[in-house]
Amino acid sequence: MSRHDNTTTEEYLELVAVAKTYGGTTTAVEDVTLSLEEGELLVLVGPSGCGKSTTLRMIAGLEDPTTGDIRIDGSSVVGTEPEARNIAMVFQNYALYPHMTARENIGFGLRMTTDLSEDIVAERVESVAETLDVTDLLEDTPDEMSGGQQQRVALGRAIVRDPSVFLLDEPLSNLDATLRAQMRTEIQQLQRELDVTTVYVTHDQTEAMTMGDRVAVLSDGQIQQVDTPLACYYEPANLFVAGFVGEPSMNTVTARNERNRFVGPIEYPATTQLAEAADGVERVTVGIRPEDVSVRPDEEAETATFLGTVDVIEPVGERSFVHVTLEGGPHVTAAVDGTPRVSELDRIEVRLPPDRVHLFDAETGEALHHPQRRSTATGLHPVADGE
Amino acid sequence: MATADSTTEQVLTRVRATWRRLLEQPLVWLAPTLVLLAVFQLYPMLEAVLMSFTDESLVRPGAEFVGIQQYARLATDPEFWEMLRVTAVYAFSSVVLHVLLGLVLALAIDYGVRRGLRGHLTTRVSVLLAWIVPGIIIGLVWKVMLVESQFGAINHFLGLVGVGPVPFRSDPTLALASTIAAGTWRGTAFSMIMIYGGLQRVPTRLYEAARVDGAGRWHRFRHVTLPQLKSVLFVTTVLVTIYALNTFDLIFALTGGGPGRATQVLALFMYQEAFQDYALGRGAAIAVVMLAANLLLTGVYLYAFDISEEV
Repeated sequence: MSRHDNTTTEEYLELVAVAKTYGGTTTAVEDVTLSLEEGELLVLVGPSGCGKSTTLRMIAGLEDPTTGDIRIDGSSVVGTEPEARNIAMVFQNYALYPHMTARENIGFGLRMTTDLSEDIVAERVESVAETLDVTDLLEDTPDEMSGGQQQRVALGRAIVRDPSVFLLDEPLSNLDATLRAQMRTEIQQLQRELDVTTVYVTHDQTEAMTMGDRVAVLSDGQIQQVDTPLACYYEPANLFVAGFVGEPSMNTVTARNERNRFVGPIEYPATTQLAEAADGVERVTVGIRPEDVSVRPDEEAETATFLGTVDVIEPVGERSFVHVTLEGGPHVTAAVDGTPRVSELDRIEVRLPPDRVHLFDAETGEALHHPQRRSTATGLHPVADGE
Repeated sequence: MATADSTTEQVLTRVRATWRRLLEQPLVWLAPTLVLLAVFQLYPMLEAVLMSFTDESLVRPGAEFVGIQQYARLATDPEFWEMLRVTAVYAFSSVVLHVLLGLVLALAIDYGVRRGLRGHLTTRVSVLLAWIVPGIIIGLVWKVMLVESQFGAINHFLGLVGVGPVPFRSDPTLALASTIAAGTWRGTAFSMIMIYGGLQRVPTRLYEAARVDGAGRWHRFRHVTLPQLKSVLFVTTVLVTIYALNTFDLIFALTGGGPGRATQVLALFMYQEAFQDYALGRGAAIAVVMLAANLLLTGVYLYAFDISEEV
């Protein structure tokens, strides 16, 4: 798992060792190196205050990095004003001009940056409005529109200028769940159609997992991992990524490494493979995804089975999450199909299969071992031509 | 006894219910303001209008209805038209200078504050001090500063660079300019505070959006700041206009309307007619003319600022 991507000449947007410090003491972003190919959609994801918005604002030119370099299409943009960078940005709260109609809002950037005639501006505004299905709203001011409509106009304002880099700062966080899912798909489609290099900031890991070509996970101003969404899920670079990506979070137990077993609140038997991976590490964290936890152990599988008490059962449709407290104290969440035939306070056996275990160095948090990916292929195939 | 108790309770419940219903009426909440307005504003205004149709005097008992005679007298008095001109020059210059300087100061402070400037509170308080000081004192202070010998502070400094002494108060044009300067020095604080309040309400994200949209400094001011300030600028302009049209104390202390009638504004003329010549009827007619001018200008501003939706 590379902490930093290698930069090559093909990269379109590059951040090289970018750092941002406020007042000499508060570090918002620390040594961020990223690179995006032309047309790529990278999602910057992380918890509140991890520095993702600051990173985006530095790309936009709204803030200058304290150190490091930002390059667009090969040339450094550090020190240049946002208006000189040919970027477009969609803000979390839309930031539409309240005194302007949707038409004026969308056309504003064109009027500011080009010498196009009013006719051509109007034509381009209308064409964008059609793409985003806001033609009927063109004469309305933002206070006459719903949140979703404002969001579309804000997107229109960004894409009408045909920017070289497209920045989105938590654009869906003010929308309700249904609209969010719909806009998520629309933004993805739009980005592919326009083929514009895009950085998308979010704290929502569902957005990160579903939207990005690649995901950059940030924490405490540092990049934890830059990879495809599935790689972040199956092969998290460290404990932070393991805990952040995936819903519910990965179950973890920290234990002492005693060669063939890990001794902590529970005693976990180490397979040869796990023991080898943990070799030389004093304390390890054993991690297992909720969907890999089994609450109906196979009869012959005796190993890695623990007794526990059911705390809560959360049915979420076709799956349920069973929260269990194991003897010894650790809490484990299991994701099971359907509705389990157990109820709260029942004592059950929980199996944490060794072939599904992730292993981390408890001190550094770095990953030591990942299980093999399960086949995620579904029975879904495209219809072949001619059928 | 039990019956008496329950009757009292019933009465109390009914009183409480009526009280609650009353409190839901908007009129109840408006009543104190309406009463105060009626007693201290509307009644005197009505009285002044009525008085302007009489020849009431402070030194003679009784008054006769004289119709529009007072107004006719004003309309045919060339001095009145000259005073109207002086008032218009004074008011127009004051409004332009107050609002422009207030805007510049407010923008400077806002710019600093958005970049973490310290000491902006001290700046605002010191500017505001000028506004707190009564007009008559300001008039006197400026009178002392503008004394036309080397004892006047300004002429002293001008003398150091070999200029002057300048007849700040005895030259008709300079005297009017001096009153405008003194009034501006005082009143700019008010517009600055108002406009600064308006600027603080402009969300930073709009400026950021405009920067990303490619708008430079001037365009951000023109397309974000000014439209966002529109309602504040309207209120400020109306208040400054009323303030300037009604200025009396400062001019009274600084020039007393002179030299000749070069700085004689309507408010000062009204004071002299009503309280120096004791001609209440004539004073009232001037007051009504001033009221009409204020209302007319507010109407013009309403139209010019295109603000009817927001007010």
